[in-house]
Amino acid sequence: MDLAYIDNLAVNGHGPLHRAGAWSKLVMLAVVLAGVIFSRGWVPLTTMAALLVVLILVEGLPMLKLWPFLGYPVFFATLFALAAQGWSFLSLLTILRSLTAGLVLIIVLATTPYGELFQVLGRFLPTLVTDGLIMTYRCFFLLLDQLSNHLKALKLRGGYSGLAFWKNVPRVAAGLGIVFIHSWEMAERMYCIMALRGYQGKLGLRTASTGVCRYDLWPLVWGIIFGGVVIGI
Amino acid sequence: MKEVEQEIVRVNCLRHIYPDRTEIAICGLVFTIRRGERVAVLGPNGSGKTTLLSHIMGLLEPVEGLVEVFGRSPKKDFREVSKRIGVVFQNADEQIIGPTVMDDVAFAPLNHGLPPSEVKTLVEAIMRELDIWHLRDKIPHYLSGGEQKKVAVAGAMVMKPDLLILDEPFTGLDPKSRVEMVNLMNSLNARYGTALVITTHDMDLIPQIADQVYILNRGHLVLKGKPEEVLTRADVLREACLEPPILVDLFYRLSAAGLPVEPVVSAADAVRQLVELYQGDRMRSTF
Repeated sequence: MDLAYIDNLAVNGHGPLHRAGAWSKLVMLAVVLAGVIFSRGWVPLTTMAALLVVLILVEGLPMLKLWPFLGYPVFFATLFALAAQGWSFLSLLTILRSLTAGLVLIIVLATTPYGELFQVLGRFLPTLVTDGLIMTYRCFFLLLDQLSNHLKALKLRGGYSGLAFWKNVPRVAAGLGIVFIHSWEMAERMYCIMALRGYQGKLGLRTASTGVCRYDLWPLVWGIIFGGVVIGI
Repeated sequence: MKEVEQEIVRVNCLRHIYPDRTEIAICGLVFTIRRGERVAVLGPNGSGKTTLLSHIMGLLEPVEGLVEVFGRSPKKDFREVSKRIGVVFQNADEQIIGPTVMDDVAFAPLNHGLPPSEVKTLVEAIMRELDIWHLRDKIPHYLSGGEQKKVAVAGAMVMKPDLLILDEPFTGLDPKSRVEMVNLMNSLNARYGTALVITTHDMDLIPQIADQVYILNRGHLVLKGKPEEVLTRADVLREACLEPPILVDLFYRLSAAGLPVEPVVSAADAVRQLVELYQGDRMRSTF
């Protein structure tokens, strides 16, 4: 799962949703999520999912590259639904709910740089929480690289074999432990760097525009359509 | 000739004890940096280079000894001193904090409370100067090693610091990026009068990047001087587990073999001497 790919889409995309402010996309997201929670039938859920697919196509987002990101929520929702409810109409609703929520989230994430998202959230959450979210997101990539390098080294030195599951488990666990220790050291180094660059308890990042532009109408119109689907169908 | 004014850094016989009780003492010569000066610190791994830099940055406090930066204690007056220092660490990717390149370069001026319009002007100016304006919307994860180093330099230089600290700036760079980095450091030094302190193992680059060179060996500042004075001391360099630049080594060996050559640190000097030898009487009298 290449999250950096989503980041790249968000920063360098040029669709109407990319031009809209983060707040209007979050309004659309809220409407869809409310619809997902409160819909009681498969028709509105399926209609919303279909409309979201249309939105992906209209925005020119690479559908095939985005599908794998949807695989995770749908897979786990399916497991949960089958374990809790067996094959039933309720299971189908659970899976449809995860699919629709996943679709709208992926659209918002692929059209909004994460810094802008966190800034809007920062209006409602404490500074420490939003700063923590930003740093967690940034560190995630660095640690992912470290873990990937560690696993490569493990394989090259004969410490990992796809067939020997029980032998692999302690070695991979040891690798995760090393990455955890590295993350601790890295956190200390990053704090020093931030302090040297003037950090005083609040991250200095460019503020996303909070003004209203004509492109904000686009997600708001979609939000109204989704709202209409939930209420009307 | 570069104008060298007053002393901005002075370190004298400092001692530091790490939490694991490892003790590092940096004694011997007094370590100084003057305004606009380019200083290289050479030494083997574990000789105390990073400890020295960390004290100058104010990240560590010495148990004993003197550390003064701009006439202040960098640890006690951390905020004041750090405003005037730019730092580029060896792992540039860990230094990049912003979600995009432009966000990262804007990080320090925004933290220091500059108004957004001024931040924008400063950021655009330094990014254009370092020729990375085209990377402004890139996310850090996708940058090459050379680009990451340049972004880190932009982030460090955006506040126009009086002192730029570069810890192993050439590590992991290909030859082209290395040359670009050297040119970049020299142009920043010439344009803004920024003093540079650089640690490196790349001996061949020293004559191009330093006015003063310090050799640090097992916590002792054993030698200080101009590159041509220090790099030609093959004996001291070897004692400090450092290999002299290949040109210096070649002329050292030629001299030891009986050829009438002087130690050199630059290719131009070497060519001049060899041409003189070839063309002159000295060549004939030697053989």
